Amino acid sequence: MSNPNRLRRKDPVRKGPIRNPTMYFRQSNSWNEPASNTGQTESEGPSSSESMDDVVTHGVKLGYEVIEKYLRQGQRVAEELSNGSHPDNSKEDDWEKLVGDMLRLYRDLSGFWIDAVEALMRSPEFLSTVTNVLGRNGQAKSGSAHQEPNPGANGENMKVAVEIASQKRAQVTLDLRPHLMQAALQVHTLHAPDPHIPPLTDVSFRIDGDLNVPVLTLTIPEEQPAATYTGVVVDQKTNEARGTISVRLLS
Amino acid sequence: MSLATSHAPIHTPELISDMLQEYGAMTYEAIKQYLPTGMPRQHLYDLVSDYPERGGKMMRSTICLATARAFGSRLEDALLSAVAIELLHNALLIHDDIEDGSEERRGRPTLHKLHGIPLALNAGDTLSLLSLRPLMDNIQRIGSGLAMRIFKETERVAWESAEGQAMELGWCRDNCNDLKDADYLLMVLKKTCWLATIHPCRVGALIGTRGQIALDPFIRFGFFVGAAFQIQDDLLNLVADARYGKELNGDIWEGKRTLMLIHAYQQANPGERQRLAETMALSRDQRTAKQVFWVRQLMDRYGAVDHARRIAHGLAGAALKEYSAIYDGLPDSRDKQFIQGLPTWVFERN
Repeated sequence: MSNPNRLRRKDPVRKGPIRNPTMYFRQSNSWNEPASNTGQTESEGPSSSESMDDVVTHGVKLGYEVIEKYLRQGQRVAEELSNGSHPDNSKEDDWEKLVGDMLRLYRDLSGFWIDAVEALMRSPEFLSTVTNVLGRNGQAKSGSAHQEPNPGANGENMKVAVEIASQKRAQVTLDLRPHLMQAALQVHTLHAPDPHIPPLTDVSFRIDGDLNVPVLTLTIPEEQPAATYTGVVVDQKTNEARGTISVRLLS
Repeated sequence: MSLATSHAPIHTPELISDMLQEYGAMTYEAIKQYLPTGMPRQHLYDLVSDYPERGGKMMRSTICLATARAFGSRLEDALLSAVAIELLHNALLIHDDIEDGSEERRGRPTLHKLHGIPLALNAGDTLSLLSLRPLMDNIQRIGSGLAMRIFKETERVAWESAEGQAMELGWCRDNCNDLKDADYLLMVLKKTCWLATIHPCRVGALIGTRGQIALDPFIRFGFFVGAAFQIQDDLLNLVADARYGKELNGDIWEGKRTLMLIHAYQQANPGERQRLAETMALSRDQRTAKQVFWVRQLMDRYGAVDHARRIAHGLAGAALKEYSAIYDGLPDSRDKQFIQGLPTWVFERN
């Protein structure tokens, strides 16, 4: 049966089946298995004679190894932090640092505020406004009050009437810019420094037809705690600040 | 099949460049509001404005804006964060150029070459400080909770970048040559990917979802895109032309441990390794053009450029896969296409 002339392949060089899992594009979380028995270590990398597929696969495999290891490290640290078992208590340090960073930021910003305020204080326009303020001398008592006008720096008279409904003594101070007679004014809610104290909400401006002046009306609830309440007076159309109002409620 | 479900790589150079231009211009307009114009100009504020005015790719800010939009945000809600990212990027560029001894940036001499190291350092510090301003303004725009999260993200990216830069600088100072590809990828993850891609994606996604999203997948996607980007950047450095804006073979002059250098060292014979180690041990000033040319030839001899290019291609493929995991569920949009096009655009730019 044997045929001495039968063609015969050469014996393969390999001694066993070639199984190289790095040749397959796998899921990102499956790269943690040990490398194949190709005898090549990571430090050696693919040789220059390897095919393009080998190098691409090497790159992808390595990429996933690096990023998955990095993420696992991050997850481990996060778990330690959430369990409070991190040896150096860096959770607290982290917050302290963050608060420190924010404080530095605020300090930086406050420097600009100080600069701005200083510039404002040197401004002749601002100074004239200060001397022109109406409310500085006009503190209304409970009940109804009418504030006498103060002459402005340019001689212009300005009048504001104040109507207060309150069972308690209240002092009202208005700081308004000049040239407001044509502006429709609006007051936002007046707040006490303590955030737990309810604000004064029933406060508004209207134009008195008879007097032809703005009238500030303010209703203070009976149970309103004694405190100093402040708010901003704005132009109703532009919402630009036109002054401030301060109500000191006495017990 | 819509792009939302297609996994085929897209070739959208026009879309990418259009959006870089459009969102970049928008970001630059917003940046100008933050660049101080007062005194002292000559020794500080002119320097602070220099790199932003040279007009980079605006890739980082555009990624942030596009991601935010892809997740449903209004553009203006992400703009301040995009500004902060660009300002921080420019601040770090000034410092990096000093640390690396770089000579050119965006087609012109580096800031410290123009004004000296002390003034350049100070300008970098100022830009870094300036990058905090839009983050503070974020409180008014998107609320204190989300603004605080972005602030913390920014703190993290600063740490990661510093660690990555330290790795690279340390390798140069200590003349580390027996590095592995994995070492390079970890360094790039920290030095480049976090600020270039991971951070902009995470911030954009936070804004777009009002903080309701897991952020780890963006580390994977951003890493693969960013690493492919950095390797391509390293490759361009070896074939630089006027458009590239950096010095030809600048990385070799600076002793950077690129994937090509690591590969050449791994493949070199003992004699070549010795010579390469001696060459890399020199400072930039000591290194000669002849030595730089020899290193470049060594890279060619061992196919280092091809090796690095193929690895970059593999990483870009992985980026597309990770992209699908994050973005496939989102409605199709120009912004989403921009993100999808990034892994292939990396190789189309020059």
